Amino acid sequence: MRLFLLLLVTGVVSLAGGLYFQEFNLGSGELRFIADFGFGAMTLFGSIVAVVATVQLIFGEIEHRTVLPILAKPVSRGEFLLGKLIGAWGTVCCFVGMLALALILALWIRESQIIARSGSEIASEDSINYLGVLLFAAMQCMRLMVLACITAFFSSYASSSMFAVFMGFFAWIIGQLRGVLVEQWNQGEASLFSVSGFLSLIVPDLRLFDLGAAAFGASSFDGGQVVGLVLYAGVYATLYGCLAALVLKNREF
Amino acid sequence: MANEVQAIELEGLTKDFSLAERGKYLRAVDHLTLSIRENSVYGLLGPNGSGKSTTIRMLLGLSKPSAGSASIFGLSPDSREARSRIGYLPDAPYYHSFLSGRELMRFFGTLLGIKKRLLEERIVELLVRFGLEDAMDRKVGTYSKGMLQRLGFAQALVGDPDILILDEPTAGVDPVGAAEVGEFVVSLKKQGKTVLLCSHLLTQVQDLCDHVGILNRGRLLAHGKIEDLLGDGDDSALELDGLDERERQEVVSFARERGGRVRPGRNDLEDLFRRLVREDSNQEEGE
Amino acid sequence: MRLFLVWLAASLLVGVLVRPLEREVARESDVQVLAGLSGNLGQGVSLAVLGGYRNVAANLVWIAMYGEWQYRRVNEVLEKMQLAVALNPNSLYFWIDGARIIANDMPVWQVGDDEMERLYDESDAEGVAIRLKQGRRALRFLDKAPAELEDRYEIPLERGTIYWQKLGDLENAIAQFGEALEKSNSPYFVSRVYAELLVENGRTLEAYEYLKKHYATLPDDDHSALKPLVAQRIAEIGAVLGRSD
Repeated sequence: MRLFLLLLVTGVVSLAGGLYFQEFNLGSGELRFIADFGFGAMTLFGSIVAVVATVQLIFGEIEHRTVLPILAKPVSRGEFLLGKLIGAWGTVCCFVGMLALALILALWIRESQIIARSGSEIASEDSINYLGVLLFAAMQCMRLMVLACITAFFSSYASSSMFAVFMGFFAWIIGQLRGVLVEQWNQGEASLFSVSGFLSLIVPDLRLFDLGAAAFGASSFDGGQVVGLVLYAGVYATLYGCLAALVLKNREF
Repeated sequence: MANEVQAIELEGLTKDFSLAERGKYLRAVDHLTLSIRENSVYGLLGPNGSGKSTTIRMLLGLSKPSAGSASIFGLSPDSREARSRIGYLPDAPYYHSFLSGRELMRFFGTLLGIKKRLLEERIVELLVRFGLEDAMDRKVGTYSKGMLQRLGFAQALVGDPDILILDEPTAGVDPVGAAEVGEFVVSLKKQGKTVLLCSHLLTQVQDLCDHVGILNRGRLLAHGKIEDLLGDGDDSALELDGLDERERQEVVSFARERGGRVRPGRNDLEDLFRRLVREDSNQEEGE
Repeated sequence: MRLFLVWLAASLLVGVLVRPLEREVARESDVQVLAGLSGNLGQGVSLAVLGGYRNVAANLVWIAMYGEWQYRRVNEVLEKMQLAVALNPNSLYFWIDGARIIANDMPVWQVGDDEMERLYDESDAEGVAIRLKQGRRALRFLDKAPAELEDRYEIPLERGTIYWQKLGDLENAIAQFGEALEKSNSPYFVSRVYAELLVENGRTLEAYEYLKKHYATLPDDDHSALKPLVAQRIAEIGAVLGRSD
């Protein structure tokens, strides 16, 4: 809870930073610059919340042995895991939701000030689509659902919280880098294609969910892409959820 | 005897833990076979590391047997129905310290699927019964050891189970608390419950149990009614009762004159326990 | 070991199944730019994990680039430019500013401030070669701009300017200005420069016809349209051509 609040405050402070660090803004619209700070807070701090909350909720129960009286009740290990995952994802969604609301509020205040000052509408490429901000937040929730499920898999297997947290962050970084690494290999020697192809098959691409530009007026949303991303997240969340359940089912307490 | 309902049955129950060295394993429970009839108090006794807690975990479905089987009223411990009939008091207070006593009870009651209204009534009833009425809205993290133990009993009973599995219920509890545990176990039996009680503190539990089983290195060394177990072996030992001080001294003098040995009264179950464990260890070394 | 094999098999199976879906949702442009950076495994790739903070990081990288620019470190400037546009490929400012640094500043750094005239001295083959080389490099930089920015007039306008002023390639400059004219919100001066380039390239009649057509579309109340100036230029070119209509 304390960490959640700390990260939330850090996220909001980071967002406020977007309002006050305009001297670092080069070329992009002011609202876009503020939104970048908000999006950054959602993805970066959201990932930390997803990993830490999942490890705490799953491995923490195992480590503190509070799982014993729970599993001694008529609760299956799958149900236990599902409950914990819903709890972790709920925490993540709350976090992202609060940051999204703070961002929308900041953008709305700034947009009103700009319009009042200039007396005219903001150019279409710089204007903010508030629905787009919510869509970005929703896609982050999808991404973090996948990350939480991967972390749950490692938490079910782990024998120390350090291992579970480390593997969660490792999965996050590899998932974020996956698209770039594969492309880099593809651009290099052809013989490496098999390695890149293999990597792209076993690691989900978490960068697919960073729809930064879609939040602005100039870019329209592709409904198919959004549905595809939700499906993509669902498939990987199910895979890692099932793997975590399998590991937990065979775990000795 | 054949018509008695068996609450718990263990048949050749064995548990091996693999060791870091490939192919080697540690046998924590070794072909354990026993039955516990309904509405009885069974004491599973043994030193630390004798396999008591491992046996309990297999009974609760928390650990899988390497061989053999365990059943609760004929059901597998993995089944929902079997676990809904068990109340479990762990060997240490493994509870969420950020919840209040009432919230913790509510959490466990919800896991058992108890209807909200009934659950709320039962929570208050149990917490009052265990003397936690003033602390029920306090965080569990602020409870004393004795209070945590009483909360443990309350949570074990929230689903009104048929079987109570108590893992070291008197460990770390002061003599007054231990006596309360004893009274509580007796009251459970009166209510028709079956109690499986694990402990290494024999003096505190020997008067409570109808039957005991003595475990060492995962093996059941002896089991049965306490009086039957203590009746075995030393027929020459006599219990002296109903004499005044002078008459008692006369008997002692007589025995000593004839070369007999007289010693002060001791805890017999503990004696038996020590003897069995020592013999078992000697046998192990001999092998 | 068994768990590892189960994980591997399940991941591979799911990876194969979601491959078509992944292609559907992927937006590869920035991935390709980021991956294309040379020697960036340490910085570009690690910055990729920043998610939404990438645009903020891009701004900071651009500021750091100006730190190198001060000391005229060509390789470091180019590397940081690439990194910044990889992190935020949608920033038009990075593309335009970067192209200008390459085309305008880098040739001067190479010959030195005191000898910058050499760049335009046709008798100095070395100076001219430097100007042409950096001009082409600026064009290659602009070619990497994402397709989304092609809807705006600034990129073709910048290309046209480089062709015109740095490479002396009027045909390509006219083509690029023509492309810029087709974009929405193209400012009025682009049309005027386009006409002048036609004249300079010897396509005077074409310039005359274009300006007349363009003049008819100009509003009377917009000062930036410079309608009287356009009318005057039409008259001047008409006089050269011997046309008075």
